[in-house]
Amino acid sequence: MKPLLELRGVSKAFGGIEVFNDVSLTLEPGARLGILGPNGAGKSTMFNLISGLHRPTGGEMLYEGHNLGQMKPWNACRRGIGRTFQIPQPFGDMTVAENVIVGCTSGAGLSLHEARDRAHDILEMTGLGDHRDKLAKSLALLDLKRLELAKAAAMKPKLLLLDEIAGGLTEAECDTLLDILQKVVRRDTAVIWIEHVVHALTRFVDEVAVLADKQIVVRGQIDEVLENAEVRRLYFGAEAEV
Amino acid sequence: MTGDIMTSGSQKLPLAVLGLSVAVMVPLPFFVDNGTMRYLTDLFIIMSVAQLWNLLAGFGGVVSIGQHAFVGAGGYAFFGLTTHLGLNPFLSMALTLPFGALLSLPVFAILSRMRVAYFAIGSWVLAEVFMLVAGKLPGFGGGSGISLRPQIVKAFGASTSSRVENIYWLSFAILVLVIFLIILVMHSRRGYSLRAMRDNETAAMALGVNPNAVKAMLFVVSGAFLSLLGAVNTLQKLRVNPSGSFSLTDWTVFIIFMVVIGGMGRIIGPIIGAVLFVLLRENLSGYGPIYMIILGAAAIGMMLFEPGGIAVLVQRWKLKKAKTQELEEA
Repeated sequence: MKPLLELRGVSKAFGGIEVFNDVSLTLEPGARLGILGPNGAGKSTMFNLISGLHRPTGGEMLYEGHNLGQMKPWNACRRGIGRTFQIPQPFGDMTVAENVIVGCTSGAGLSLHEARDRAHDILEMTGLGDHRDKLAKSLALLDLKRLELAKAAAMKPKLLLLDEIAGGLTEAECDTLLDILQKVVRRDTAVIWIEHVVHALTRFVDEVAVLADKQIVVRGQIDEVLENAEVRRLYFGAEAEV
Repeated sequence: MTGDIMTSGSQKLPLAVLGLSVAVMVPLPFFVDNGTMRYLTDLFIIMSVAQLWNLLAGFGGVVSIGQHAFVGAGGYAFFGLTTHLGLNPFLSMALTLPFGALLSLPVFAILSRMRVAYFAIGSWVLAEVFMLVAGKLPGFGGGSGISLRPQIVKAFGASTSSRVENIYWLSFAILVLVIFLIILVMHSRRGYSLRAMRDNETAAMALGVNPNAVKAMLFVVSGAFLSLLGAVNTLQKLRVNPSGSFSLTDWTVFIIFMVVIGGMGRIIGPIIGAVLFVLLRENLSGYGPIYMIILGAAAIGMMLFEPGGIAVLVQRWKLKKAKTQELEEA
């Protein structure tokens, strides 16, 4: 199968500081990949690169064969790349429903009428139905995270980038979030999910990759990756010699 | 819905208010004298300019302090089309709309390369350039300006009183059209993109909004109507001159005052602000420079005390009253 997303030797530096060096990654349509890695490893930078908010300083990024490195964020979105932000970025002075409608109209190109219908469905699925007429800035954290997801899901992305949407949630809230994810993310949507909450990740993704020291150090089935010596070193420090 | 563009929750309210004011304002010339009508014509023109500035800055987050460039250019275009090209005065006035729209394209192309503060300063500098060019144009009276020919003015009414009436209706019609258009834009698909962009530009871009396209649309709409208003103003003043037609004070500084005092990002804001401004001007202008100091102090005070302007103060007061009433009933 032709890959949906292909990163070939991508690097990114801000001024003299390199955050990303020679990263390569391919993703098939409908694949679900989790990304682990310590803070500051460049995980969110990777999303900013894929969603067009940042330009890579080196390497090549292809999405459905198009050069993603030169694509503007709104074009990346219109071609089907949806994302959430680690720190929720609501349109504060718009209502919850209006926030989702933006995704349907600008992102998916729906008419206002169609957008209202879809927003209604997505809000019901994400459990935000009762909040639809509230201003987004008045929502609590869990609901803001749901709104991030609702906005991105509303545009029916081919590739969905989830940035730590389970962070800061209780275990019960995590369960709810996973239920919502199963409902709103269609089976043919490819997903890359950055997450520290490993138990949430394992219930959703097919495989994981670990981003550390500016590179992807390992990728594979989740159990294998967690057993990997390099990963154990990164997460738990060097193992004591007995 | 608290996120509405008027102060109140209902979306039907703006249209009801608009309808009511049409019913009152349209027959008014039959009951009041010429002086009052001239006064109201002035009010409608500045109110329209304030609405358009609010469309850019309040709704779109595009802060330009050079919008007087379009008012002036529209006035000069009207003069040139009628006097030099000999076109029909009504046609000339209508043509100032596409003229303003076309003119705003290169201006936006230059300004859109600049970020917030530079955009604002750049727009001011461009407006100054426009004014200087207008003063050098052959056939426009140089620095001291030139009067419209009587036959052009008379096309809008043979007698003074019929002219005053016609210009009154014209400026009121433009105001209604501008407000109606803004309501229409805000409730269109573009309106959603616009509000999203204003609230959070990065998130909006990631959700498919092209901020430059949205800003360009706002700029073109406001440029077109400002140019038309410049033509009406020229008809009202009977002449063009660089410092008056391109007046930074009249068409930008006072306008910003009105929008800030009245309430940015709400249709009712510039209406409140313009009425208040005209009242203050009438009552304080006898005091000379003190009047400007009072206006400035009022604007700064409002920005510090309630950046949402009077519109938000009124909204809050209403909420408080409703709550007290609820408590009393309970």
